[in-house]
Amino acid sequence: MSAFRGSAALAASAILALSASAGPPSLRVATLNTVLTEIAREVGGREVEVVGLVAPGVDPHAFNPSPADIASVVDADVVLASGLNMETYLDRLAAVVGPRGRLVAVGDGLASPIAMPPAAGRAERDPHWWHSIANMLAAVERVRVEFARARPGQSGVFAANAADYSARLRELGSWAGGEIAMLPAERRVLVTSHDAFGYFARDYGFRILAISGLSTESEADARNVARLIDLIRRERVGAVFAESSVDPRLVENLVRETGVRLGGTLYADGLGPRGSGAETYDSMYRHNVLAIVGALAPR
Amino acid sequence: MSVHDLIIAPFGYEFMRRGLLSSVLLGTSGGLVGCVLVLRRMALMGDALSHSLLPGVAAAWFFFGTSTTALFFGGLAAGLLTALGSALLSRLTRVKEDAAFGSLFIVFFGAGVALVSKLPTRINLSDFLFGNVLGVSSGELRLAGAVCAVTVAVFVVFYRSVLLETFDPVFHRAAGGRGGLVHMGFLALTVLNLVAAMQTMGVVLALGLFLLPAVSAYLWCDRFLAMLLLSAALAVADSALGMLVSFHAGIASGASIVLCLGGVFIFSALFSPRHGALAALRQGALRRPST
Repeated sequence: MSAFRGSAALAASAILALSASAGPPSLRVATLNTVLTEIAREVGGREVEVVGLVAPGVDPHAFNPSPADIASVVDADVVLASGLNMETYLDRLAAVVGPRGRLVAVGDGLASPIAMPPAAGRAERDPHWWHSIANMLAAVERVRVEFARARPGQSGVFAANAADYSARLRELGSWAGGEIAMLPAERRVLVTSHDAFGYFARDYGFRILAISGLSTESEADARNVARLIDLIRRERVGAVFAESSVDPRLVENLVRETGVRLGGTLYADGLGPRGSGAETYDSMYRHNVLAIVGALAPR
Repeated sequence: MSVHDLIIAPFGYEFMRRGLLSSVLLGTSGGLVGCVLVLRRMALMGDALSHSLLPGVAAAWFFFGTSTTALFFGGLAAGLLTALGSALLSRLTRVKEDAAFGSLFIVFFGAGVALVSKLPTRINLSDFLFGNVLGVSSGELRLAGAVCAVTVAVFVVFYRSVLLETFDPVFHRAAGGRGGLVHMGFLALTVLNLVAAMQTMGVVLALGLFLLPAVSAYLWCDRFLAMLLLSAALAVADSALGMLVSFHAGIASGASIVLCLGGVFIFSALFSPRHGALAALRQGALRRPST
């Protein structure tokens, strides 16, 4: 449904771009996260031109901007980043943002980021904030404020769009709450490749057990893998999950060694590519919830 | 903590046994190949080769997805082209082999980076290219076994040719040996080992298993056969030690094994009674340059 709406909006903006000789130039937005691309398109509607630099399916931890990407950042009025140190290259990118452009690290402004236990002396915060609907609503509001500041004349349109999109997000949230309510508390254990579902876990009372840390780039160690295997056996964990942008070999080894079920592939680091069935936030979130509930539900 | 908890219990996990078995297999064959690399002053070749595999793997990924077999043969093809190409260039042109190698591998690496940037979905390619010793699959274990068997067999059957070509290629050719062929064969064997090791265990560990046991053994042994055997033995012992350190201290496993191998190398370089730094200092060898 929202995929249809998205493509309709896209077609509309294409038509508008063709006849754009009259009227004020549209707001140019560059995003570094597939979820933010969707938020910007939904809030901006036909008033903004959104360029998503990180393509769907690309691991944002390992994203490497090309010259064309840098050019989009230079030309943009607003650059939307995930923040919370998801984009480790953000400082370098900030240097090229044009004089009238504004770099907004959306995650940095969220109310209660999850602090990770300080490893190596540095406190880190979980950057995968979009797995919580509450954070999504806050991000939509932040984007609306930024757009209204850049184009005050169109703030009414942005507010209407944001309200519409937020309503759909709330609907999605109450659907997910109903689905997850079917899982007894002791079955809410999420074993994944890397630690990306902290916000999801906080919302729905899951416990997270991840093979490696916050970034897909951190490497697993034998002690952690052994602990996971012990936990899976002792607590009779229902299933483990692979991730769309991480090598599944380590998870497959957990499956082989413990006999636990492979619960499917989750989208941890953003939206999926076209044809994946997770190319919008709505379908990505539903995919994850259905995979988790389906694999962990008592049978 | 009892001895059992310290050494035996960790290997009660299947992933530990798999990791150990794969690094023992590839450490044995990598150690053999590494000895020849060290003696022939081609130690940096492994590092260069690891870069040159990228275009082959990226192309394989593009056409066949993340199939282990496709990635293996893609990497193998690119590595063989680099190694044999530079061997041929050095024989047919004025360029020496090290310069030919250095030039070709960087061209290949550039082509690889270009290919990766054109791939439709840039998933974390390095994650798929380079394995993790904790995530070794059954197919990769069989691959490691096959590569190890082939390498050991080649060394046993062609021991005399390898020995001659390593120490005195000029004499080998004069005595009617087919030096060029042996050299090419050896390069192919190196590529085969490197591709298998990188795919199974990651690039750091693969290069470590090739060089560090060999160069440590070189510091203790004066006979080729002794060096080969010690090199393989060091690779096996440090693989086990490194896995245990990773298990108890929570350090990334590939790096842990490499650091154990590195410790043995530093120790050997300092304390080897005949070829170590301390022995040399005691004999005042610093005053005359070593040959």
